[in-house]
Amino acid sequence: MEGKDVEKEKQEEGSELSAGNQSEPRLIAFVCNWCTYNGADLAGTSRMKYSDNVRVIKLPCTGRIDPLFIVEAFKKGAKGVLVSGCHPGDCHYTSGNYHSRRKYATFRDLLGYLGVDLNRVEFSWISASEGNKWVAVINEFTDKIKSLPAQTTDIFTKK
Amino acid sequence: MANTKTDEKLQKIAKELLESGEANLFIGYTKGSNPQRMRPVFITKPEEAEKLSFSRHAVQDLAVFLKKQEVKKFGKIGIAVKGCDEKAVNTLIQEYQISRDDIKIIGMQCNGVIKQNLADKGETEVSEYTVYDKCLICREHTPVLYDFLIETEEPELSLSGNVKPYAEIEKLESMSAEEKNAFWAQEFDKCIKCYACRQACPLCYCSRCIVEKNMPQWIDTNSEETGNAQWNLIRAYHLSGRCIGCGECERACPVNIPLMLINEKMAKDVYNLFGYKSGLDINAKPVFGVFSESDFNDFIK
Amino acid sequence: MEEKYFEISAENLKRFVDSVISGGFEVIAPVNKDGDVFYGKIEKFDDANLDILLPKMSYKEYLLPKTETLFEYSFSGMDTAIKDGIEAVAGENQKRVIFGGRPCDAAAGPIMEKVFNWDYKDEFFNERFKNLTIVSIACEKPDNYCFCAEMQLSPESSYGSDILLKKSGAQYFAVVTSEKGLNLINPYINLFKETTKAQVPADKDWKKLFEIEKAKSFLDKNFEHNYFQDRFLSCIGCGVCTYTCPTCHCFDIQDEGNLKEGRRIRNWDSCQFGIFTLHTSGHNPRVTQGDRYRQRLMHKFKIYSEKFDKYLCVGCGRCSRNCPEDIDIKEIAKDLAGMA
Repeated sequence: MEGKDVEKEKQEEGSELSAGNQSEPRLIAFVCNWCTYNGADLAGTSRMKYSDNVRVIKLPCTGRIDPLFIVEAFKKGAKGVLVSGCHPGDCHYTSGNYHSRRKYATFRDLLGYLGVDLNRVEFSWISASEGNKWVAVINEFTDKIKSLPAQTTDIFTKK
Repeated sequence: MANTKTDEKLQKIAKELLESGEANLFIGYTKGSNPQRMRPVFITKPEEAEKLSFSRHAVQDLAVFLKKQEVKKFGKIGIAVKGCDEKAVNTLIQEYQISRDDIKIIGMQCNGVIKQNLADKGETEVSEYTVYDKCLICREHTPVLYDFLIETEEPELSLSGNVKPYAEIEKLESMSAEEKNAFWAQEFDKCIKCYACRQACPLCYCSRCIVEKNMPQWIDTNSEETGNAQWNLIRAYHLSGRCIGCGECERACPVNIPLMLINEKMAKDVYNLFGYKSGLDINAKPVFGVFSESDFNDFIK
Repeated sequence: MEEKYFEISAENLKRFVDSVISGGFEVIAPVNKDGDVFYGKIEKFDDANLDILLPKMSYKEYLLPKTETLFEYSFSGMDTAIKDGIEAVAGENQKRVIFGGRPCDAAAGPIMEKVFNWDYKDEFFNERFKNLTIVSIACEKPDNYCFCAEMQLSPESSYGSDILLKKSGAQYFAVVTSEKGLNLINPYINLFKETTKAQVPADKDWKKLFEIEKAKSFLDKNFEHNYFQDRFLSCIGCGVCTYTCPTCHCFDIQDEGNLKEGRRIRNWDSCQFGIFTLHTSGHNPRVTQGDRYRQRLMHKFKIYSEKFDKYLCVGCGRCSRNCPEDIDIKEIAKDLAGMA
């Protein structure tokens, strides 16, 4: 498992370097398998264009998205993190997104309190049919991140 | 120092519990290494109950011992707890760490304990200037749950309002992200990663802490800005909605990081968002174990 | 080097320290911080708080930082670049003075040096130790947690200090024990007045509460004694004792990095942690906190002394003062000696 990821990442790294690192700043989107991922898929199959700064990581459910993942993304240099899943009431597992909402309401507060610019974390509900919403959210988020100062001061980076 | 009435009552109850077998171990306080210090004591024999004592210097949260394997193996346990510490016992019961049937709670009514660093310098008076901030906002001078209650002989804490407990929180909230970052960067820089905050916490009972998990290494092991911040962030988060505000993490911290500014802030936010206060009801569902359809949704697009 | 003795007035001492700072030395002294006193950098003599007995933490971090980079690596294409961490240490401020520490803290230096040099020569430690000049002030009033006298030192011991200052009325006597110390005062020698040993007030006869040799002989024979399990039931394993200790030196080597770059670091570690002795198999030879605190006592009072003929404890009492559960090592050592 781990070895495979490393290979993949290496390839990605190589292609990006040759492209002159167009995709900075890097955004990470943690999305649920059932709604937002399919929404993004719809955007893709419908040939909608959206910012290529985002890297999508698919998980079973927003309930599975541990706040540590956000920490890890920031640690590894992501400029912004998006968490997205099914609309309330639509969770494939009935309540994963409700639990996640509670979790992130507080985690977001904590991040803000410890001095992380809250413009850098975004949450959304995007259903499988909302390809256009996915495009809008990503583009908006990318613009917002691009408008932030290039050098971020936060608790995740070395001074 | 002679026994006070409180001491005598405590000793009597502990003795009876141990004699009747209702407790195999009694955890209480005894006199410590200087007259202004108390320390935990573990009593297994009824005749040793006379070691027990209680005073305004009983700063430790004894509920921390309930998570120790060495203590758990005694089975039935009697414990002397102040109102704040008792909330930790409630939370442990609520989270199925201990059984209500296995524990006899001796509630110690308390009107504030003196900050240990002041006590070590000879402070013996209880006043709003000498007690911990947690005592100033305390609403559980009488524990919320107990099998026996020992009333206090201490005078009630008089508050003039000159001391604002956890006043820094509001100040921090009004700061910009950059200012907050600067404040916390400075505080976390002091951290030496001794994990005393975790060990002193009655609710940090994971048998394997997240920092000890290294496949993958979620939290950087270094004790520099990055590793320290990640550690303090994630510990604060794990305590959100659970922390009962006993302040043991902050007291144990050898480099004086104001950890309660984070814990109290999270407690406040959890209360504002979900109307939940931890440690008050053993039958309540943990705040992150449940949800409501009408939960705060404004931050989600 | 043979000891040399000087007299210096309080005003001249201030002048001396201020000149040392303006002469380019980084001077570390007890300073007020967060409601307590810690060692920290001072800009002038008056920044230092010399009225207290001991800062809350020791100055161990100037010899063994809480995190130290041993080496760094980075990849670019097919090339790998490696940078030895020692370069950074050598490039740090070469001249550092610890001023206003106490004889116990000073004694910790040579005690740790033995560990870092008995087989493998630890260049990181040695580089730092070499560049550290220690100017201590003898204690007049040790408190109830102090037991340096029992640990073969004394509140007036010059062991480990390059210069030991002894207060006498409005002036100080300076006992210079090393070339490092002499080099520090030489540029400002006009502030000092050379004198003889006879002029320096003799050390007081410091009373001992117990004999540490007896405690050792108890530890020699009673590894399985119930005392440890019973006494340390109140230990929560926080590790504050080891982290505030001037002589505890255990560290943990870790790698940190990604596909582009990384580094190997060593962090402080503590025998009070459950994971410290956890084997890969899942077996842990030190299961209880009793086992772990016993290890600390064994290392301090028995194991180290068998190897190096000194004890791994200087009797500063920090572990007792800072213990959240009020475990007093002096009391324990006395107990052990009493049981022998």
